[in-house]
Amino acid sequence: MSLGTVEPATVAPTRRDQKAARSNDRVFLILARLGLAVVLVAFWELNSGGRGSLLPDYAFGTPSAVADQFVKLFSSGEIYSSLWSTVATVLYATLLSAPVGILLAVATSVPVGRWLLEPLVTITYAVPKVGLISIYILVLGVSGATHIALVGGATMFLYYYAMRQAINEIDRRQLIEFRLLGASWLKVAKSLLLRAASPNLIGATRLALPLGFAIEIFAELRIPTSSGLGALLEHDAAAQNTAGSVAVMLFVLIIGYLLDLALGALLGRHAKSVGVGAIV
Amino acid sequence: MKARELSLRTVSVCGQWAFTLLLIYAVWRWLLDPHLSPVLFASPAKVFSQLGTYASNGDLWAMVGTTLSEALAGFAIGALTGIIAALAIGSMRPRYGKVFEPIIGGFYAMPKFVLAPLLFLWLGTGFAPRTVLVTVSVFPLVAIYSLTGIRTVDADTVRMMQLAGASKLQIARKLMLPHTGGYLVISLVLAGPHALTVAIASEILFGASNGIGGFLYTSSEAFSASGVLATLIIGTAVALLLFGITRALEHRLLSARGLGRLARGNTAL
Repeated sequence: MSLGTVEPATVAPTRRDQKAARSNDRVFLILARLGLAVVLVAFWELNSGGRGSLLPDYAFGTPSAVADQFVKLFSSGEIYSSLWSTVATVLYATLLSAPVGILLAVATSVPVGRWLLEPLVTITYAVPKVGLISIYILVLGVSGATHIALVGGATMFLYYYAMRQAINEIDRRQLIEFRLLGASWLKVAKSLLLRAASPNLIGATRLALPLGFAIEIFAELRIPTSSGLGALLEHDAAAQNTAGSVAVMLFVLIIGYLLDLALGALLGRHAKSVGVGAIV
Repeated sequence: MKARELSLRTVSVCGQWAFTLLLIYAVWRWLLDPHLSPVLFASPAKVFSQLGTYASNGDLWAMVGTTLSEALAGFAIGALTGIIAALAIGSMRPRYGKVFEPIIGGFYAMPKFVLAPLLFLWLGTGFAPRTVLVTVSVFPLVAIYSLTGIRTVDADTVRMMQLAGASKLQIARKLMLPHTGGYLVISLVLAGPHALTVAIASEILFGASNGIGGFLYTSSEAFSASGVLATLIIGTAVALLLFGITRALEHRLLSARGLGRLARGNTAL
């Protein structure tokens, strides 16, 4: 290169170029994922059939039969009432268990509370929560309370540990300054503790709702129930309606995935707004 | 001074645990037992006698052995397939790899128990469907954490290895797997206790007659409160032991890699 020549400057991509590239990537991703789904469904349809085929329809159903079942579930409205029944139980249980977990974490943050309660929490945390179903049935009977107790018993610990982590991370100096300035414990809890704990609590909710959803379906499969997604699934399986079972299973999978995406986005947005990195 | 502090701490912890166990016993013996129906609840004496029976007739070892073998088999298969899936997706260009990510995400978000009625149709109620349920629970946890680890591998180092003529398998073995170690440890620590609880849940769901879940199921069907409580105590003891082992492993492996402890509460099932 002679001194007289000038190296062409590399032009940095403009914001519009970057936006276009991102949009192209997004379109490619959506099309590729749709393509993958089409390939999988086509493979399933082509290989399903009677006994001897790779995916026998008595065990897997066929995509067309599953689609029929989907239409039937939505047109009859059965899926809405079942979904609401499951979701309502999970929400009730979470609403009841979250404050208990949070209060327990606050109680164990002081030395006396920690000395008295920590081993109890460790033991109850180790109890296989799904195994308690037998006790709940014996004590509470076949009722909604059994479902709520089972779900709440598991989700409570997520809030407990999330809150404990938040309390441990609180700046002690700031806490002392708050108290020296005359703030009451209620004010400290509202202005310092809850604010610092909010990302952790949203993170716990991201884990608690899918966990509650899973446990409620477990409860609906195990305890004789007339409503709920688990009951719908059990009903189809008992009637040897594989296509119906697969349709409900796919519906639950889609709901679970969308819930995870929504909670993940909420958590990400909140984490960004309070200036912390990814929590879960 | 340090030794004195340590012994004081040991005494405090022992006292704390002794107090808690005594409290549980007192509440159980004098508050709950006299006021609850014997059909619904059993006295400590009855439960300890049931535990003695389980230990003497060999049921204790059989139930723990069955549950642990399901949990271990499912854990091993799930962890292996999770690592393979993460390596397969991670070694693709991110643009293509992202196409397959919803498959793992779907497995992670799906309540695994919905598979139970279908697994019952496909595989019956024995060891196989219970192990599959554990596998399906462990797989996404390991795959997601491993993939996260692989995605943090320096792209320039990968390019350098490619330029030096390394094959995809060599890049995976020599660069990606060692780099992913910390994430892999986290996923295995989380997945271990999770595998145990899913194994117990699957035994209850499939109405098994063996394993911890199987004993819980048969005892509750027979309205044997002492059987249910004795089995729950065994389940809790196994879980506590497993938590202890995973905590020790976590501490040893993560601190060796300069990483902190994990947040608790991820295995609340």
